[in-house]
Amino acid sequence: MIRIDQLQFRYGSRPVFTGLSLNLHPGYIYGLLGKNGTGKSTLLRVIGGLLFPDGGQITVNGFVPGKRQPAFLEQIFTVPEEFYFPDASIDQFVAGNAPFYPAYDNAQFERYLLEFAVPRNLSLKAMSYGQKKKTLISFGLACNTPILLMDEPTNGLDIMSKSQFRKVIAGALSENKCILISTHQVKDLEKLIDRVTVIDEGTILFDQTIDSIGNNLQFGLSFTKEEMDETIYAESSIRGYAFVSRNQSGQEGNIDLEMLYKAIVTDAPAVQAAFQQ
Amino acid sequence: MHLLCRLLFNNKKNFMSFDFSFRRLQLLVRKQWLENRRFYMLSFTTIAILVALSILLFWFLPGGSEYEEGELMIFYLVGLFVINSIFASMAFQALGNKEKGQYVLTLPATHGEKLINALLFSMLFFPVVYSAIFWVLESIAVQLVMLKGAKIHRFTDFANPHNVIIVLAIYLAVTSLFLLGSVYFKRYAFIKTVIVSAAIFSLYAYLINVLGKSLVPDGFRWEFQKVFNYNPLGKNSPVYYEYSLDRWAEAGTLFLVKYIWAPFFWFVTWLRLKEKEI
Repeated sequence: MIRIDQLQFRYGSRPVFTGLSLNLHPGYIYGLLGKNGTGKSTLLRVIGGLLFPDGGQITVNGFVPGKRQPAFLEQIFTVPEEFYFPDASIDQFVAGNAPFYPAYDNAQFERYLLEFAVPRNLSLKAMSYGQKKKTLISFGLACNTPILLMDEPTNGLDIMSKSQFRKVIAGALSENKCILISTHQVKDLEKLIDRVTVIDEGTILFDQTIDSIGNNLQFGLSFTKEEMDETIYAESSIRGYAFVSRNQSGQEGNIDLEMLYKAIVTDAPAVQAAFQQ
Repeated sequence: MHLLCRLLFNNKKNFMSFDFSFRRLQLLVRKQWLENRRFYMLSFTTIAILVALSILLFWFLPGGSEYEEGELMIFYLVGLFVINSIFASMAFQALGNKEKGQYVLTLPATHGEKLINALLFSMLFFPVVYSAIFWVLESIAVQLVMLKGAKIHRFTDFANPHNVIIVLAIYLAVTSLFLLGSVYFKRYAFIKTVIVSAAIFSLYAYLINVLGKSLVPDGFRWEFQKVFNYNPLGKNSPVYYEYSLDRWAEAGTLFLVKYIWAPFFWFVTWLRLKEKEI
């Protein structure tokens, strides 16, 4: 669905991607993690056709994104971190934009608005940032595009909305849909994503499915350092030591995305080695 | 139209692959109206008030027993050029803003369709509404003058289609230039387009003047398509030389100089839209 091969991109003289390769398939929710400034948003923009790569190849459902052909644009919807809404009502916005997306479903949109508790009578300009974001997410999901890109979608959402977001996104996934979520708020994606991709220094630092992570890594809490066996990463917490180690039990355990991310950023080779055992 | 577009642009060897849909264009026009109608209504109300005040203060009240309708034409043309240039310079200003630009560029329509939509609004919709507003107010003003018993000299220059075509060509070229400016400049597109255009035009005039003096021998003058010896008697002079292009070349060159600008600016705008990154 999305094929990225040896992608190169730079802002002026500052390289962002120096040979990034990645394949994303339908039926999965991908979590794109990384430090600030590592190119998560840039990657979404390249996939969405808003930025043109300096080298390498990228195809999205067989289209070259940079050409911005309508047949491509109607298959992809982006929920950016910062977005624009016209000075219009929800109905006017929908009437103006929905006809461009052939699979748009208004009943679905209304249902999402209800689930997110977005006040239906408010004009878009009068809404708070969180309400606007929920409206855009609802619209993006109702467009039923095969590809949905979301950049920091939980920024600005309250606790209840974050939980609702996970529920709505999980329900919206189908075998034909690929959802790519870029975030640094890893906790918000727990129990939602199927695959974790970490970008660092313009390359893929880590790329594994949730199943594979659960099988190969163990996340736990220990009261003493001595109890921790073959630890890859550990940090002290109020309740003792939180740690990430190799999973030698043979059973799939719970995943702590935040700990995983810290482990990858701190010692990527050790994490990767756990998957090669 | 669709077939023509395909014939002209859909050659795979051609870098300009062109995809056009009337349905998408119709949707774009509808979207533009839905999202901006409040702004348009407010703008046209303001324009109507300004035009009415201008006619009243600078034409009706100062006039005595005689009125020149031609003076109103100056109001009309100045308003047409200024107002539409302002509207045109706002057409793609959204691209200067990351969020708005993304909203525009990710909408499933071709760059050509987005450009045609902007052309329809800035070169057809705005001038038609402005003209309608102006002519209604002008008609009222003329009736008031007649009621007052004053004499009015009617304006007839626009009865000549050639004059109308020339004004239209200049209008399209100027508006298209401001449309291009809206893609080029991230902020203050109107002012920046005015400044850059004035600078380029001045440089052009200066260079032509310098070239005219250095390339043409003493006693001769260069006037666009011909060079001739300057003599107060002109063609009646016993010694008169005139060097010019042949009739067809001259007509062709003149045609291009008069009418090429608007399509040229549209083409550059389209290219800029295609290469725009946000």
